[in-house]
Amino acid sequence: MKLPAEVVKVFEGIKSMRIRGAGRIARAAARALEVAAKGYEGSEEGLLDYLVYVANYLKSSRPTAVSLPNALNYVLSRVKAAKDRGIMPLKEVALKAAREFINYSLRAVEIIGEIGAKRVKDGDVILTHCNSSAALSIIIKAWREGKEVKVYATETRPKFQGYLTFKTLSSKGIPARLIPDSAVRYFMKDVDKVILGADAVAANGAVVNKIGTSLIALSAHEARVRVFIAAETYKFSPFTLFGELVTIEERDPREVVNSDYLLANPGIKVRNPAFDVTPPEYIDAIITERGIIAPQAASLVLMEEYGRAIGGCLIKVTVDMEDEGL
Amino acid sequence: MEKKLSKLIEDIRTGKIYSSTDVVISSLRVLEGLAKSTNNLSELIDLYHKYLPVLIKARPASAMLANSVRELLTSIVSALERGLSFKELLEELSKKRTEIERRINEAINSAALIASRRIQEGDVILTNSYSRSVLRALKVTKDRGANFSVYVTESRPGSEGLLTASRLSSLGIPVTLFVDSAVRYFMKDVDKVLISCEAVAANGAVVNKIGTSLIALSAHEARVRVFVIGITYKFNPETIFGELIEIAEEEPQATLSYDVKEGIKSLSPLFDVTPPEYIDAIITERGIIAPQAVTTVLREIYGWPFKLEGIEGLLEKLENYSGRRE
Repeated sequence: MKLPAEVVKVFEGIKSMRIRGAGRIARAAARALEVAAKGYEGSEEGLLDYLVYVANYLKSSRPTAVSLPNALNYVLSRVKAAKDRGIMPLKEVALKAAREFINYSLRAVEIIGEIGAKRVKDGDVILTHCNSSAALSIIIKAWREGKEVKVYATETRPKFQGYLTFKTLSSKGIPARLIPDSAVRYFMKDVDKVILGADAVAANGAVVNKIGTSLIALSAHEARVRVFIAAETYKFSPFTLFGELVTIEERDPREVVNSDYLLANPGIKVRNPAFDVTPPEYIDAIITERGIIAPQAASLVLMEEYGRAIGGCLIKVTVDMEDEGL
Repeated sequence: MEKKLSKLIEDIRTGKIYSSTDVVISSLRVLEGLAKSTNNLSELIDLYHKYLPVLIKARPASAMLANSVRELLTSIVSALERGLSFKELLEELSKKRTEIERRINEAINSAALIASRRIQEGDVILTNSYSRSVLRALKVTKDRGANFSVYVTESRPGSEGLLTASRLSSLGIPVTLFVDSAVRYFMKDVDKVLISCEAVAANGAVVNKIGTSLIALSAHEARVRVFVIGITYKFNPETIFGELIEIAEEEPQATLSYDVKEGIKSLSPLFDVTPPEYIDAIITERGIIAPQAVTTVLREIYGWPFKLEGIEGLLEKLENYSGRRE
């Protein structure tokens, strides 16, 4: 089967982290499916198989981002349901579902900003990590509401996404200071709230996010500083409901040190895990587009979101995808 | 010689020379050279007046720097009290400098030997930054024929963890390197944390490279033991009188290694303070002590009540002996 050039481009973009952040990855994946459906010229019968094939390819770009398979499943499950019920043409269903997902995702970040901003008080000092659009949405919304907040942004090694956060905040006039990741505990006593994003939320409320998140949450817990996670519901991992672990991706060591260093020190193993897992006991609340929940209530969100699919579309499609051996 | 000292002070201030032992040994050598470049006592006193406070201020947290400079000055004052000539005084100064250097090296060797006894076959040791004491302890352990491996954090800002990793690897020790924020991710694989320090306060709190307190916190959470190698030269006697250890904040620009430095506002403290409750033991040349026993050691060294002359006071005394004051 043939892959449209644009799909390949999205795959490469996600893999190289040109497209980063769970939300952006999810939207890019939905868009890629939309493009694939639009360009499909085969039989009505074969469309779903083709889309599953494209989805499998996209899914293999990054193992940890749960939003990626969730976005793909959002589209695929709707196409499958339509097919089962004989709704035609399936291409229309696919295009509509992809659009729907993208719009939903964009709106979700906005709603999270509105809900989360209510928890920010005038004068709050906020610490954030990496570059999360959902977390930024909260901070920016609070600022627009006239709350004078100050932000510590960690530089976020190895890829320095903190610089992007700093720039976004500065461009809105929000006072921000960049700090090394190692200085988190040093500054924690000045911090009122920690607001972070998530790459995935597991059924027990554990949050998978950029490496360093669990250390920040631990340090906040020690200092009795509240930790809020901003996460759209499509970042909740349905697979963890069935005991599956979220795979933590280890990336190229050259993101940490340069090739010269590696060549000069062949005995040194450089490890570069992209994410870590923060246990629910260090998280005060998860802010979703449906409201603020305790991390322990993550399974409720999952049941609500995917409950109807359990034993049905979602699982079937997922199994199909697993069978592809990717 | 003055130029050399200014350069040294700059390198110390910006953290370019990281190891506190290296800081002290090179400082003492340059101070000796500076004294020898003068023609009379008056010139020497002028230069010491000019540079000593700046030198101490370049690394205000370093107890060993203050302690050894104090010892050097005391020897000059004592030489003057005994009515020695300027030439004899310089000889005395040289002797004292050599003696301090020898005592520091001996103390490090003894402490390292004691520390190495706490490393067992198969241990995974986590360390950060660059420390002569830690390197020495690990080398002694390797020489003994023990098999163990070492996890090293990059140690931003400064990234001197890369140098530590290289040194250890060249000794044939298996080394794994990762970013500072990954400490909690790897802590479950670690058996012992072995770190050095910049200063030990009277209450047993330890000042060391920024990020150390995060490592200790994470180790405490995971019930991993934390050992600090701190020879008694690093014990800060002034903290008994309630003095706080001053933590310098590095020039922000010096720490940024990202290509876009323009307009970035950062905060970058060089050290942080690890509370005694996260430290299992401090390893000195006199033996292993609980952090809570630091006062006892300070009493042993300085007597009780304390006889301790400040550097300002010693400079004042020099001034009086110079005969320039009537």
